[in-house]
Amino acid sequence: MVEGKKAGEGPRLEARGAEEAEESVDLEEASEDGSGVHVDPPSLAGAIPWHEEHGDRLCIAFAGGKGGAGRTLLAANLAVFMSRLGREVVLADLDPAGMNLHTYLGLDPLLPTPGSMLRPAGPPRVDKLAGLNLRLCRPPRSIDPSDHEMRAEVLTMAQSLEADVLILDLGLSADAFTLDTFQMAHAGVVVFAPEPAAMERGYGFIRAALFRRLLHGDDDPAVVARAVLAADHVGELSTPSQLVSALSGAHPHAAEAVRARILSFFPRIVVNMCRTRADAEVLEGAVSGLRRRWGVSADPLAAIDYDDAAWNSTRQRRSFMIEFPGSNLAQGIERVARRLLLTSTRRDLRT
Amino acid sequence: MSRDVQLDYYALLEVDPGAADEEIRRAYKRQLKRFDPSGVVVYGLYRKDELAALMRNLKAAHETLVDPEKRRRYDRSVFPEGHPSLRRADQRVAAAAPMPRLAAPADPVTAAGLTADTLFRGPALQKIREASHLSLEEIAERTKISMFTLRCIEADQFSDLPARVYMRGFLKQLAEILRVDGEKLLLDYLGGVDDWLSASPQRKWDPIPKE
Repeated sequence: MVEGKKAGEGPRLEARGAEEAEESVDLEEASEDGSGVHVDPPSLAGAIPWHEEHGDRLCIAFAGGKGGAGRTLLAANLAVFMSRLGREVVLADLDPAGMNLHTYLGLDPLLPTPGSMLRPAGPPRVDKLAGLNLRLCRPPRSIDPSDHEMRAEVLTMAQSLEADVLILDLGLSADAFTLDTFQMAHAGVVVFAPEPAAMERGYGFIRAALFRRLLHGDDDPAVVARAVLAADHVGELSTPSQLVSALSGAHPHAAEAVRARILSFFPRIVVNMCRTRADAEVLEGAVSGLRRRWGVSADPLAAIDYDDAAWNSTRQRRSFMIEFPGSNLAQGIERVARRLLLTSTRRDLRT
Repeated sequence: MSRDVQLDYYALLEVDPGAADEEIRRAYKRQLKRFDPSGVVVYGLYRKDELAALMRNLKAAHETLVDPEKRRRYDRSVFPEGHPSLRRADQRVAAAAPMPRLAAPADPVTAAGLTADTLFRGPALQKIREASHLSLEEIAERTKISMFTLRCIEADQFSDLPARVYMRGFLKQLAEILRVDGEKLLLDYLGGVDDWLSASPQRKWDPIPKE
């Protein structure tokens, strides 16, 4: 049942810094000769490893939101459902603070002994789930939340495994590794819940991802945008569209690139634990709010009903897709899966 | 200045530019509920002052779009070439016309190829009307001024105009429809009538209205 693999077997990766610098030059040239606007994600400063050769493999990342909104639960059950649809699925646990995917799948936790904590952690661990085309890739023991090396290793390992779908649980912190991996995925999903704290955290993560997309890196648009914002002492530029207007006078190319980056940012959102119709309407409300406030188009994947199947299945450490396939919760996951399987893996088609 | 992404009234209410009154009323109620300052949707997304601005914009959009007269004027000022999403259906027009500038409605006087100091007399008014794509029939229907009088105004046929007191009201209505300065129109046009009257003692402004 357990299929161990060494981290060293994953393909080696090159630093992406130099490559990204070239892309940013292309971007300027493209806008100058009027041949269209690049919508490539901005420089990620070589912070994370990422395989360009994904092939047709669909990568879905769950990140952000408030703890307890259901991110990990939904990621695990989406993986189960997709594997039951006949897809070969790899799940990766990249949540350093809440490494729990195994719990929702009925796998045992990896419990360290005091002695093992003193030795190096060793390679990530891969477990295959009985009766499913599903493997879980996770750190060999609980890790320090700042241990990005181990997270990168798990990601590399997960990417090296043969699969149709790769599902990542990135956790809720808005650190650079999480934000960049979220944006490199074909579909980045943020799970909201219809209560103020969860809304604030969900918006906060999307805002952090957007700002990183616009302002991080050494390419010209990001550098120019940072300079303009730094000069804005009164903080008047409170929306991305105001930033674009501010740039458009003296730096039309940067303005165009920033605008293209806003337009090509397409976070998916789920509102979980809806108890009333008004709760379910929060999904469309959040999409509308994100568009008005920041010009971000978000994809409303599903409003999922609050369901006893969640705690029931969690208590039993079983997937609700298997234990309660007729539940509202399971139907919500089916809606999410259908929408996500339509996602194109071609970056040039991303809108 | 609103901190919102700049949206026209239709986009603000999230309705189609062709939406009927009832749809606009429903959409307005839906947006008010959605962006209720005490609701969860806005929490962590808007500051209080930003939300107040959004509410004001929604209210202005609703008030304008449910009033047929205001809505016509708004449509014409913001989308002089027709609403972009309507034009998209018509590929020929879409290809030919540049995107309208949302914030700056075209000035009807310059649009008619006139300058600010052109005297507002018959021929100028006719040019402005034509540049605004308005027919005499349309104006007659909206203002209840007779077609005859409208033709006389545009032809500077002063002898057939109704009495001064009526003319003042008509010219004011005309200024509103043509979106030109009403004071200037009154001064210019009635000045023209006075010039015409004083040119010959035989000329009289018939005190009996021709309506």
